[in-house]
Amino acid sequence: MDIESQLIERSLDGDSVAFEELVMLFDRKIYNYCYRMTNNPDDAEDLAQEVFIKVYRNLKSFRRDSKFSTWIYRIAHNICIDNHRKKRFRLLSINREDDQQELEMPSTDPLPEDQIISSEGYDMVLECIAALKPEYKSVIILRDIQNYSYEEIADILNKPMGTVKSNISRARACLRDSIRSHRPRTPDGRGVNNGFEAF
Amino acid sequence: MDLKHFDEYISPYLDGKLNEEEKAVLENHLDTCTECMAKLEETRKLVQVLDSLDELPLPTDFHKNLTIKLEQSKRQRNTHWYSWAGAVAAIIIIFFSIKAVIGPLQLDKATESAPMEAEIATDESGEGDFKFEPGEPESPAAAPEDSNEKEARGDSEIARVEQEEMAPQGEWGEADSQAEPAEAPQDDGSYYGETRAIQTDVVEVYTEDICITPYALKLMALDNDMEPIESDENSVVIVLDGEDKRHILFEELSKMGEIKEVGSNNIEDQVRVIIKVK
Repeated sequence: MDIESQLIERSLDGDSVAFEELVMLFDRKIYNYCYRMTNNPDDAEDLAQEVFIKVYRNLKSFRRDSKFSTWIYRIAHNICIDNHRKKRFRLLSINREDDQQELEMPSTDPLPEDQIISSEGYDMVLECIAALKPEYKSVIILRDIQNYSYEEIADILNKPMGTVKSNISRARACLRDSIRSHRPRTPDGRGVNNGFEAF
Repeated sequence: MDLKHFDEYISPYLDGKLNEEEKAVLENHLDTCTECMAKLEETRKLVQVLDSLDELPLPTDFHKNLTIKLEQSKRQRNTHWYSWAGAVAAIIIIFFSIKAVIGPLQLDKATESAPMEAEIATDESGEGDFKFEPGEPESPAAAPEDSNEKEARGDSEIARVEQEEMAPQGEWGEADSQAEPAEAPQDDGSYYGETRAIQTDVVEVYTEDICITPYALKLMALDNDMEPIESDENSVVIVLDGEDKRHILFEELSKMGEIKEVGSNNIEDQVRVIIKVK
């Protein structure tokens, strides 16, 4: 039995140290997933902790025929999507006039002038990721930031391979186009014509 | 082929997911189309940039805060359990109190003190309820379920002692056999005493567990030799070829949540299971 399965068994027997060790195998990955999904450190911490509480409560129902990492990511994904829905609902109920587009479309505001050039490109990318719709955001995080295979992503998101393929393709195209249309100003006052020039 | 169509080839091309034919079509096109070539290069650059994003460190108090939340979550669950245990203990005590009244009366109608003792016992059972209230958990932090069990057993002991005091004719064996099934509600699987079967062609499962997805239902079906034939975002259609499968499906679904049969009684050989999140 591998270490992961042993820790699951021991956690099920009520061994809290084993559960802590199990958490430590995934905490950074799950926190980072939640962080990239929300683009907010406080929300990410809350959501990642919610994931582990859910794992703790539902460990009994984990089926050994799927990978534990897939299962825990699926929980994280569901929690993040749920959080996004709640937030959007709140936003829409606060201001009905506000088109939800605002939440999902990339912002084209220029970055503040005091932005440091070296991190500028990265900040812009993060901003553009944050503006993607959640279906696209999750495949970008899983595929390109956390390097999961198409098969693993299909398992995590519980989607057919064809959907995953086309979502990855569209998400990248969408992100590419929004970076392209970004025209951040460099510190010397010169603007760029294409966001990719910032790298 | 329009440019938009080629755009859809770019991403799988970079991941090596195109077949030879598609690859050749795209490469031929790239030779002549600067627009698509630029898109390919930008997408390649994008993938590199994303790959180079650093993994962020955990917030300093992440584990500390998680531990606090886990303890709170355990305590909440125990509270639920405490109320159950309290009710069960009260029933046991009342049961023995009545037995204590009726037993001696039948055996020895001349004994007059028995009803008095029974009244006292009943009063005590009323107090017994509060022993399991959430205000007084003993040590839910360390090993909550164990301590609950001990506490529940402790109460059964009290019941036995009272019973012994009132009816010292030696009914220990019976006391044991009554006390054991009373602890049953702590076992999740025992709410459905008798085996039942799915009767109709549409069933709703009410669950709080977000892990119960159509995918999970499909796996469950396959595990039990049933064939899932179609599914959408919240339901799965499963073929049930035999009465035993109807029993198995009922048992499996009751583990996941509350079952509600909403279909017609017209029994077909397939059933749609709809997931309803509470």
